[in-house]
Amino acid sequence: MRSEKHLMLFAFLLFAGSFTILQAQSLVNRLLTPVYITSSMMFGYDSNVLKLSENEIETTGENLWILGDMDTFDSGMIRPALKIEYSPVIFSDHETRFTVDTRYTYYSQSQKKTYSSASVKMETHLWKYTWLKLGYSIQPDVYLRTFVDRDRINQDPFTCTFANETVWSSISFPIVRETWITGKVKQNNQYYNTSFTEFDIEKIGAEGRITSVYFRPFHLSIFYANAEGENTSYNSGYISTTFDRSYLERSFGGYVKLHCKKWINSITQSIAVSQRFYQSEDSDDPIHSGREQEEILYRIFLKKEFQSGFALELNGNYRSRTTFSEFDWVEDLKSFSKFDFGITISNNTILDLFY
Amino acid sequence: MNRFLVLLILLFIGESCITPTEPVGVKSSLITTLETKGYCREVDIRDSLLVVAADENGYAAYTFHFTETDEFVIDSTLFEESESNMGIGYQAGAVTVPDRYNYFLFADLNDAMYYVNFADIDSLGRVPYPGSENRDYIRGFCVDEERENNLIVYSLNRAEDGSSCFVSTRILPYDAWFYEETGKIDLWFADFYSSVPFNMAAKDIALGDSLLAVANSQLGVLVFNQLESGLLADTVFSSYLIDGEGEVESVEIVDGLVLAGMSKDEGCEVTLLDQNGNVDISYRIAEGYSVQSIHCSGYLLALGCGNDGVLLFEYSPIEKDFTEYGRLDAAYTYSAMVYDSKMIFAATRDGLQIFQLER
Repeated sequence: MRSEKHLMLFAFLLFAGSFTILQAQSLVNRLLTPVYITSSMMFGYDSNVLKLSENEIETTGENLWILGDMDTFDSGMIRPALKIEYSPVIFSDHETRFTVDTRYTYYSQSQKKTYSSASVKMETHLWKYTWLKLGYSIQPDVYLRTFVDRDRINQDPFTCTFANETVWSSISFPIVRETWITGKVKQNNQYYNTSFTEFDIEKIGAEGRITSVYFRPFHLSIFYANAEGENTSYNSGYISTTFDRSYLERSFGGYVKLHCKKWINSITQSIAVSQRFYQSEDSDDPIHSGREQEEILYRIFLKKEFQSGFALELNGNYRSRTTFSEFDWVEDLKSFSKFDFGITISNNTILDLFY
Repeated sequence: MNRFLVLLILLFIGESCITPTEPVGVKSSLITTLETKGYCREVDIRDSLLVVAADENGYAAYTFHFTETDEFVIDSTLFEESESNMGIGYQAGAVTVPDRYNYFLFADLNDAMYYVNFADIDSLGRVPYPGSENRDYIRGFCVDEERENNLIVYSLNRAEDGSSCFVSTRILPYDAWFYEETGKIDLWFADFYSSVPFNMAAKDIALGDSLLAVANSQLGVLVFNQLESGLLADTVFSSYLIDGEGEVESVEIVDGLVLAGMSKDEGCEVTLLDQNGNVDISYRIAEGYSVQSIHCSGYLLALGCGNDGVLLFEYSPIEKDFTEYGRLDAAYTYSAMVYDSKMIFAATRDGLQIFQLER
């Protein structure tokens, strides 16, 4: 029902804009523009699919249930994706673009971990270096791992999954030559399955980003973001909800993209540091009380485009979380590191049915 | 146009497609904790009368009511042990408020069983006891008021030499004339009967459906038939072992089913006996928990599980089956009592905790 509401909203925006702006050209002609389709397939490897801590990995022999349906901690993965871009001429002097992106990530070691995701984005150009963007992304069923459900009498481990969605909007303005600043607000909702609703989080955040293409051939960007995650199911009457899992989060980082002319087209490196501060001060809740964690995500992409519309991309990610707590066992339990890498083959196609 | 876009952005941010799922488990709230000063071992209620066995603090009695908004209100404290007497008086471990007449029974588990009239709550009388010794080592007791002029008390007693246990049946005559004159009962005489001796480590007894079950520790469960006279049959109706490392700590009879609460996280064994006393059907619930007490009322079963608080199950009389309902986050729980379909009383180390279920 709510999805329909969003679609209606997009449609309303599209047509409301059309009717107010369109003058000389007919509506139909402005809408009959080519559709750009990018299909891709990624083959990769993930070293620690379940984000297990070192301690958990060492003791898995005694607690095999932690692995769920997996036989090993790592897994191969395949990710087919399809991206569709459509740019109708809604405003005569300003570009408007709609993008739909869908992905399906398959893990060879875990059927449960396999998930799909989708996102839609609408961008419209307002002035030079000024864009207004709206976006929505969803991962309807993400498998985390298995846990014991504290609300149940049955102490068998249950599958923990969650639905993850993000709604965001951003606007950018030029600040100096070939440099612009982007302000972004977003809401992220994570709703867990029926056994683990105590982890439900609604996160609202804001981000500021400065991007520049002035220092050619480099493309530079830095950002700073703040967010507040509210544990919406806290104290809702179930045993498991007696602990507050709310937190504050700040993140910062940036990327450098180097455009090359030989061998490869671009190399992108990015780093993001995310610091989370849990709000709980409950002495009965050692897992969250006074806990802080710092997560570092380093990424690198190498891309080579071919004239035929094909492109090849190599990517590698390293992610590490360090937890700070009054309790050593919490630090050991909640810290982890992992890496993944992959190779993506993509193809761009223009679908021009009208001309 | 700009205003239009801003409005759309705001609408977009405020909306989402997914909604939280409905959680499993029981939604409850701890209404109050009535501090009984000592550990609260057991509670019993009749109408507005509430009596607790408060361990080192003896017994305590109150009148209470629930308001229309389900608020628990103590109207008056009928009796609480004085501060100066704490720890040197009675050590109440079990309590029962019978349906007839205004009094209650409690057991000092290392000493004797007593009766207390609400009309004279400061003083107590000793329930006549079997044997020649001045002590009545009681592990647990239950009562039967089905006979018009008698109260029948079944108590699980340790033998005087300490080598075994037996069930003592005491038939205590009610003196209706005395009660009408004084507002009090006086249990001054009893006929005594004893069962065959059994395991010295037996822990608990329960009466129901003309059966009396004994939690016979590592030797499982003993079941006696109750005769029409109220006496127990001379021979054991059923005796069965329960698989696992746990010992039977508590027992209850629900709709002909014998429920045996086990120690060492072995849960609760549910057994249906056939007409010959053989085990017809048995299954285990609450595996992973040590069950210290069992109480069932209506369609709700409450298990008192020490550090794990209270476990609740829903009972289906048609299928004779218990399905998981949820857990209550009570303090260390000795026993739990289903007051009605919404209220659960937990006798805990923190006192008497009252939970309201949102059903």
